[in-house]
Amino acid sequence: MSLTLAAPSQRPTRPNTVPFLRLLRIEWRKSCDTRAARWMLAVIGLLTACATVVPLALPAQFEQAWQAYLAPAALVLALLLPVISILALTSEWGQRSVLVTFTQEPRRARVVAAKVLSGTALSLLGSAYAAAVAAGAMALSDTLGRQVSWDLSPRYALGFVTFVLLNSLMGMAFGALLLNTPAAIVLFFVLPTVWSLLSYGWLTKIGKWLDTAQTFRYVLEADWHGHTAQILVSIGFWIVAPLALGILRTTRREVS
Amino acid sequence: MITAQELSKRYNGTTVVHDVSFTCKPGTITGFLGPNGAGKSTTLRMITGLTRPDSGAATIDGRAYAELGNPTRVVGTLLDASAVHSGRSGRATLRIAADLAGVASSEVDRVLELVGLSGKAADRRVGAYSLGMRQRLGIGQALIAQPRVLILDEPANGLDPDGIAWMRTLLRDFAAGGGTVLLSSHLLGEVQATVDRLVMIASGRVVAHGTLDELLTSSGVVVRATNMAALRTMLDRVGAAHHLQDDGAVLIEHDDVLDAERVARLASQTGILLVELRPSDRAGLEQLFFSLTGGAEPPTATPHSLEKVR
Repeated sequence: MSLTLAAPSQRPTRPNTVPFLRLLRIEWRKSCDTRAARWMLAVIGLLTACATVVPLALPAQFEQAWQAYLAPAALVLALLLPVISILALTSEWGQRSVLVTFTQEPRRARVVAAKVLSGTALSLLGSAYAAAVAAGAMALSDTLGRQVSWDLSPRYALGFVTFVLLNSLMGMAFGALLLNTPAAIVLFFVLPTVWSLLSYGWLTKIGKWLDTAQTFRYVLEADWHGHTAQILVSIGFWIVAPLALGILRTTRREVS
Repeated sequence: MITAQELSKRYNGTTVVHDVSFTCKPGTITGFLGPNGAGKSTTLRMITGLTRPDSGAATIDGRAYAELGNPTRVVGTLLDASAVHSGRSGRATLRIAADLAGVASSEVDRVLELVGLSGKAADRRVGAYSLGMRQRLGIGQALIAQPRVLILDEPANGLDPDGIAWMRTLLRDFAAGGGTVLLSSHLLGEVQATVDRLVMIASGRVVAHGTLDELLTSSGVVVRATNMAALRTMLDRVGAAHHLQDDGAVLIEHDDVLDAERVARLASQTGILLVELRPSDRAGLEQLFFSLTGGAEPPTATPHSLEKVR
């Protein structure tokens, strides 16, 4: 029955609408082709590589296994990739090129969706890069004659990728909501500190649900049993809600 | 074809645009003229779907901007030349526009050539561009998908005289090919030389619109005589509204009856020797501009002083 009903309710087609994949490709290019973004990517690449050197240089302190090699890289990615994600959503407002972007595609929610998906792709690519660098470092450790455990549980791999992604998404959500680069970056970096400073009394109780330094760490350590609700609340409060409000704000905001 | 129907916009209780209606037909260049702050940019942003009008509507080729599937293929816009990411090169900026519109990337080189930004300039960061270069890039961006309509906000800003002449030719060619152009300006001289229709706006309201000829013919006659005092006495006697310009000539305002021939006849009968007698073109348009837009400024004729009005 639904099939027969579907036809008449179809909206009139716009023959030349910009295909979403094209928007996505362009937002991807835009997020990587500016000088600021290139520098940022170079720095992230370098620091991620440096992070994997730590367990390589200190075999006594670090177990020679994936988890030990990926964790420092994950922290670097979680700290710096969001900056690119934030820039993707805010820099066009700062540079006022939204004036061009939204005349090129007046359905603004599609543009935001393309930016978020492009940021997601970047985050996945970042994780893949970190894994490759970690594998390289571990191979080096192996050739140095150390006992290297190559066993990677899918559960941990998923935790690692999700952790990097969640931090990126949080950056994008802040960017989408604030539409202002400095404000979004400051909020993103100050927030964890605020929780650690305010962890007194009832704030500690709230922190268990909203302090992403805690809740996202459960994700990274693949330790979500018993913490699923806290993780989901954090995601809802810091990612889903600001992103939804941000899309609403973007579609309604005056562009001048 | 651009249609604006009773567009209105208020900000914090202040009406910025009030009941603005006009139509731009294919094959014409319409100048949207008014002092800064008159509501030109707000109107253009309403037409291009960036600002939601409180009432009224605008269409391009019969559709609201948001309903245009791939808008840049229908209408090229340049709303603010400095609204470009400064960290990207001119070529990269155009490539994005070309890609989004779905036109071949070979168009990028063609357009770079067309707007005079080929060679080294194309690969420099836009942040290092002069305002004139940004205007050229913006015009290139507007033209990249070969639209039928152009909407340009102050496109002559920052262009040198060569650039202005270049743009004039470009827009004339575009209109001659059946394109529709709407361009705003606060510089009368620029508008007068480029457009064939005018929509004048002041304090958010359309105060005059029509072809350049229509607006000019009603704007008066400039007269100079060896004896200016006698000339003015004569004009007073026939009850013609007139006043002395800065350059010493007399402008007879908005007078269809007292045309140049009639002035000459009167002067001849009164024994006044005329040394200059012409329809007020530029000066007249300025006069019209100031009288219609409510500017208290006297019609000083230098473009320089006009720029200060903004």
